[in-house]
Amino acid sequence: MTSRVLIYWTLSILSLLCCLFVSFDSENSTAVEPKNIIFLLKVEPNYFYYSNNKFHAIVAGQLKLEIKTETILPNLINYDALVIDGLDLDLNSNISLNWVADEKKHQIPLNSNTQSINLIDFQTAQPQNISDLHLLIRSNFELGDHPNAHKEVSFESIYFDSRKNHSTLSLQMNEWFDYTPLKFNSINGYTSSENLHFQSLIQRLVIWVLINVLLYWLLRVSGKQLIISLTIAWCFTLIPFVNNFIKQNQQIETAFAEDGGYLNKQDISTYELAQDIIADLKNRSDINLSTQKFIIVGTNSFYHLRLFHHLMGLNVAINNYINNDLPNDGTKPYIYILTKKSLEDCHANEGSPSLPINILSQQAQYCLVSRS
Amino acid sequence: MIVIAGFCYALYFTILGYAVRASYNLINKTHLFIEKKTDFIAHAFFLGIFVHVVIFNIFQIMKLSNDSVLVICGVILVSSLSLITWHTLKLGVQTNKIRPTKQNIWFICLTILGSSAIYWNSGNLPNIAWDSWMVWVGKADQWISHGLSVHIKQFDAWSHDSESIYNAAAHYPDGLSLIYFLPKLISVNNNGTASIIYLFAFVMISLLLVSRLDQKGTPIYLQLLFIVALYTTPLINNHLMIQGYADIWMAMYIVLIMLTFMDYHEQRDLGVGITLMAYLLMLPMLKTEGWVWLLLFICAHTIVAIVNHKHKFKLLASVLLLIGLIVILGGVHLQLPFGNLVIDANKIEFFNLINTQIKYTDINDYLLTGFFWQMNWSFLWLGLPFLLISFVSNQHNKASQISHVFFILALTCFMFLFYFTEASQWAEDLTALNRIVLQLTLCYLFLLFRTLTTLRGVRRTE
Repeated sequence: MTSRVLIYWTLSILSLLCCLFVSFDSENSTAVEPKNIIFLLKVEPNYFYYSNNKFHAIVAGQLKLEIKTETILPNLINYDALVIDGLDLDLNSNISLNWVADEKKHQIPLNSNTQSINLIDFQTAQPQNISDLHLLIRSNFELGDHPNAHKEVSFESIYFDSRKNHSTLSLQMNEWFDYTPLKFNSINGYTSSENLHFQSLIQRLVIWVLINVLLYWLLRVSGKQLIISLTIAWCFTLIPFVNNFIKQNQQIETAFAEDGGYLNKQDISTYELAQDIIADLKNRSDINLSTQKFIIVGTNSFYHLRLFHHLMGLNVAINNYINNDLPNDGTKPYIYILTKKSLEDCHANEGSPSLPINILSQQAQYCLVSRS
Repeated sequence: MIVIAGFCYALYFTILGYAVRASYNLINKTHLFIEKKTDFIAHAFFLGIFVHVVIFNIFQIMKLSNDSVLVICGVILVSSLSLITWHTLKLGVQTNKIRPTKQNIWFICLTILGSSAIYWNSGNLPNIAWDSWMVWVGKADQWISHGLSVHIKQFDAWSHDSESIYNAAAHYPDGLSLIYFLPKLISVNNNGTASIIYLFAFVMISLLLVSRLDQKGTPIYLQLLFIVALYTTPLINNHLMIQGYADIWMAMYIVLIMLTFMDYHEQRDLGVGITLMAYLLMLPMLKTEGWVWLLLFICAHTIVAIVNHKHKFKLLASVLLLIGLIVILGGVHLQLPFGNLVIDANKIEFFNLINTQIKYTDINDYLLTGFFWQMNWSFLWLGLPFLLISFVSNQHNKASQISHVFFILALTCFMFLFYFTEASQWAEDLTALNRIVLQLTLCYLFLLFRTLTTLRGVRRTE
């Protein structure tokens, strides 16, 4: 029994090493020398500077770093990796490589690790067809009321490279420890379908686990050995999970540093708007808030839905149109709340009454009207 | 403070559930026998949630104002406590004097550690999930402003009714919203309190499942691994962290039903039967698809009853004959007072629950993304083929058969809905594919670890 266990573990560990280190790439491309592109970056000097051995980019919303391709274009498609060393990226920002090839836009989100190694494929056989190559750094304002809108992203060096210059494990590790930020739709999935950084890990572990099941069956060892194998495989997935979990905590802490009550900046403005509308309505003696029905005119966008949420104290609904034939149920006519795009209807009505509406209140941010 | 409020709320549910169990024993004049405290608290808690939802539904029908709801709620709580006291004094409670073992303490510590880690992330997070602030928590907000008994309707119905208020998802059941309502009514930090309730419920389920695995001879190390797997599965973790969705509750109730079904078959006890009915009824009160799971449990029960019946071949032949007859006649087209029942090659309409064309949609890619490329979540599903093989290869008792048949039916139904009906749109935008699977994940994990126990030399021998 002991000898069979020994054989099991010898074969199992060997196969694990194989699964993790063997490269499955079928391409026979030769390794090319890395090409430093820091001097090819074209960006407004105010937003880019060098200090303390690092390049610093200041991002206000988003920053485009163009890559001048004149000198490297003929060789461009020979590079299949982009490496950024010493990357320091805020957890609420992301960076991507973008280009147009054969008149089609492409984007690859780059890993946010300190050494960010990213596999790239320019999706064309003709390098001259590649244009508009640039890096895009964006601040993610989806969550939180980010106290400082200006973000600083820094790195030591950036170069195009060949994947052959990196071990399979380091390429893998770079994907595993990439960060998946928390988003509104995080509840539905963990990693987005555009950026599946665990696919390769899972595929490799699946092969290893199947080998272990086969070994268990052939060598007739105790099930305990198989369970230990499964636990090892689980740990391999657990380490990136815990790493991501801790980073998410830092993301949440910075995103909701000021006031955790609002989902993001836009939410704060919808809340303030809702308060203005309620105050306006309370000042009017002709409107009975307990019986009056209101309709927010707009689509089911985040803005309108949050406005609806903040106005839940009123009898309010959302509808796309103002001039539909709603049944008159004998009560007072509906009051429509116009904001954003639908506000144009209110302004248009000032000059030439295109819609049969009465303007009850007209403000910069909103307009209250009823159908006449 | 928030944590204390959360625990008080959990205690409220447990008291309600305990009172119902005590009153059953009072009527039957039997002793309340607590075999294992964690099991008892878990059942009392989940039964309490059912009782709470039913009581609040009655409040809605009675058109009570929010103030009277609060007062009556207090009265119910006090009567429940008195009932429990009276029952304890009159009949007494028999508890199994098993001291907590080292392992129990380990399990509890591990679940507390997992819960604390999740709370560490969710504590600062506002209620970010769309469906949650629009629908589940949204409805609770609307009841606070407009009263619990106000009619909530979708746009067309709302515009015809001056007494109603609007919510885009007015047709969703009220179960989860009613859990959020009470803390809002007492004006405590709702998000934090509910977060504790989610975590408490999940701890209870974890301990309950571990105790069942223990009964089946699962060794301690595998039980520990089971808890680690429960707390580190990304989708489960996310639903506990970004709370506000009903899917994790569905998952918990489905696994509770599975366990209670097994208990019922082993003990044939009326009390267990009543508990089972309560859990089954809870499903449609939480989500619309609860009806599907409910019907599937009934189907699983019927199929196992037929297979174990002495006239099984005659019964099976008649079922096949009935199906054959339906196929020859071109499907079922019935118009019943409570809706249409249409099942044929082009369309499926099942009362008000589903009405969809049957059309094949290729969702393979989405299925792979949803199931397999999501960190350890994907690794979990690797066990599925082995689990299915074990259903056939091993001998099982009737109770286990039901859980297996239910699981296979649920998976088949899930695949059918996403591949062949208009539900495929939710697979294509990856909004519901994972979440529906999540509802089965706890069952799956439990069955998987039970299967791992059957591996050579793993089962604990005492």
